[in-house]
Amino acid sequence: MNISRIGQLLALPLCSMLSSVPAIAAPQITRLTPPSELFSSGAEAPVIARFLPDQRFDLQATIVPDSPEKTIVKAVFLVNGQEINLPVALKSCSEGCLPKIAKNTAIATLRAISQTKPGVHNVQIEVTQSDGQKSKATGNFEIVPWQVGGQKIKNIIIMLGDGMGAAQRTAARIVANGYAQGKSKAPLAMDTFSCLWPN
Amino acid sequence: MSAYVLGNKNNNNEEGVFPDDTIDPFDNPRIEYLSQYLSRTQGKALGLVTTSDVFDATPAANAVHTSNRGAGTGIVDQYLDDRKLTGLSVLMGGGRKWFLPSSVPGSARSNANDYQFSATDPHTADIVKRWNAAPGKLDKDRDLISDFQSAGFKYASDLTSLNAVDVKSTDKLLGLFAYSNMNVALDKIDGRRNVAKGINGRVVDDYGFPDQPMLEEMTTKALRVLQKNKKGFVLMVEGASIDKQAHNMDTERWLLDTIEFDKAIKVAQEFAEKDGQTLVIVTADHECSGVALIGGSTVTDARLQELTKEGGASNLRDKVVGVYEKAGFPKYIIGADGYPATTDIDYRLLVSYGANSDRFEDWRTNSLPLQDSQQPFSKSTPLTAYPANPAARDVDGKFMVTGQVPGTSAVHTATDIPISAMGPGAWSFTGVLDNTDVFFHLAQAAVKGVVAPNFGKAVKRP
Repeated sequence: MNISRIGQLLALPLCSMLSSVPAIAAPQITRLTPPSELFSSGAEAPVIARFLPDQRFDLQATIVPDSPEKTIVKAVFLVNGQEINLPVALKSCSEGCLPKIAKNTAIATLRAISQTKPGVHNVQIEVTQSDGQKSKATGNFEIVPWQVGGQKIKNIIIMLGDGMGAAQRTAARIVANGYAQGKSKAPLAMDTFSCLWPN
Repeated sequence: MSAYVLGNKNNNNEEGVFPDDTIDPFDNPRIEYLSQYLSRTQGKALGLVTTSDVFDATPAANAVHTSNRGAGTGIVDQYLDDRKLTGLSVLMGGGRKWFLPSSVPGSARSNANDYQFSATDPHTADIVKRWNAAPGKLDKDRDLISDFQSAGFKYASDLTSLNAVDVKSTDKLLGLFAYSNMNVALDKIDGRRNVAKGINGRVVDDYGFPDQPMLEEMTTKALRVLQKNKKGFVLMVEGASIDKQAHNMDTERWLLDTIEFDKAIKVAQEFAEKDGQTLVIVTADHECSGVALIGGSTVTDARLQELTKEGGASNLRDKVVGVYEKAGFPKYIIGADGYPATTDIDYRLLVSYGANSDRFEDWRTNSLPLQDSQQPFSKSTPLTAYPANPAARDVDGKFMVTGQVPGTSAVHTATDIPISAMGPGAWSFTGVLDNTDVFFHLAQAAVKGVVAPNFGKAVKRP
């Protein structure tokens, strides 16, 4: 057989060997806070995290390098594509992280940020691994808009009956005030509040 | 609780934080509380009044950031150390054990459930820098009552000293009326009635706190102090043991606690009616135990005791439980103190539980509550005489109600709960609400003013 044909025969197995080599991995972002369906499942709705205009909260991400000897060297947070110009705290999981977390995992945190503009905002993290590889992940949160209102409330009183469902209220009414021929003789104080809705 | 004051859901055991992957429960990503937002932007004060240990989740989930509701030392320290963030001015309830130096008998202070942020590692140093939070300290020997007093809080240890607090000269008030959870209304009232007769109060004496205030007495004092703040206040008042006694399926104890809670509601209502600028909501964090009002007893209390001796479902259920028209209308005689003269009436109200664990049922009032494992002396006499769990009492009647949940207590249920509202802005609590919606309605009312809903249209979520 001539040499060119042998070359052809040899070329085929080489190609099939090359195609079975796995694709190069990248750092994985396993958690993005505030939590969102966009990050968890890719769905933009429902928006999980909602805040008031200027209500403070923390951004955080958990980032896992693609192999044990690598680390995360940089993490940047963006909101609506704009980088937040504040230093990000980068913590290594060499200590202090949950047992199932790899020791070269990084936790990136940006504390006490807030947004004024109402609507749904995208939050993104862009990370750089020690070998130069980059990764990003996206989530969202909502700023609930103010409405034009009337009288402002000076004081708020939250009366919290722990574990108190409708049956507990009924039982207290029966015992405290009694019934005559099926009619409650007197309401509880909580019964005389103008509005009652399920929650 | 946390959903109402954060606008966001928290996982079980979390207060004011999102979950994370670190071990430290105090470093979690934070969410600013309603109290903190209104303190920061409007100068409002915060009051927390409860019948539970003040470290407990409901009061703490108004002011403290942690992923571990059990981390008591750090929680109570944060109440004081971050009071400038929350505006905390009134804190009342049980829980003295967290405030005593660890060497004092009964103290629960421990470095294992405390926190201290790093001065250099930005992961926690940024909490101090960017939230203006205190760094914390591992200080189990701290005298926290003394530190509260140094910070300008008057301190009350019982009803007598609470009554003696001169409101004119008081801007901040700490009240700690028990080592852990306060005794429930039924046992406090029993104590007061016995004292009036010149004999000991049994349960409150066994616990060592014979002079505990009722929730409406605590609420009255709290309002008198808080209303002095010209910028207004947020006050959370909790009837805490409705839940705790429902877990125990101790009908009379959660029922009388609900009556006690209603008397505190009346105090808040009268304040709001007079004030005209106060929004009051009454709600629950969840339902507990699946309470069902099944009917009334068809027998007298004396006959019920005879049937208990004969025992078994054929006696205690089939000859006792009257349903539909056989339930009648149970009549409880209310004493001068506003509580039933006795809960062991003839033809009593009968209650069963849909989220129950194993229990024996004889329908009669338990003379002692179940053991509370959070009490520091629960393993010493006399508290060792208290029954350990619902299957350890009423055994003589041999009427076992098999639990549908494993374990030794009834559980929380997922059913909707009612929310009642009064005052300006009450109308905005319309439609079936998500608990996080409540937060946005409260904030809207305080910051930009009340909004009347459009009753002609489907309700829009905030």
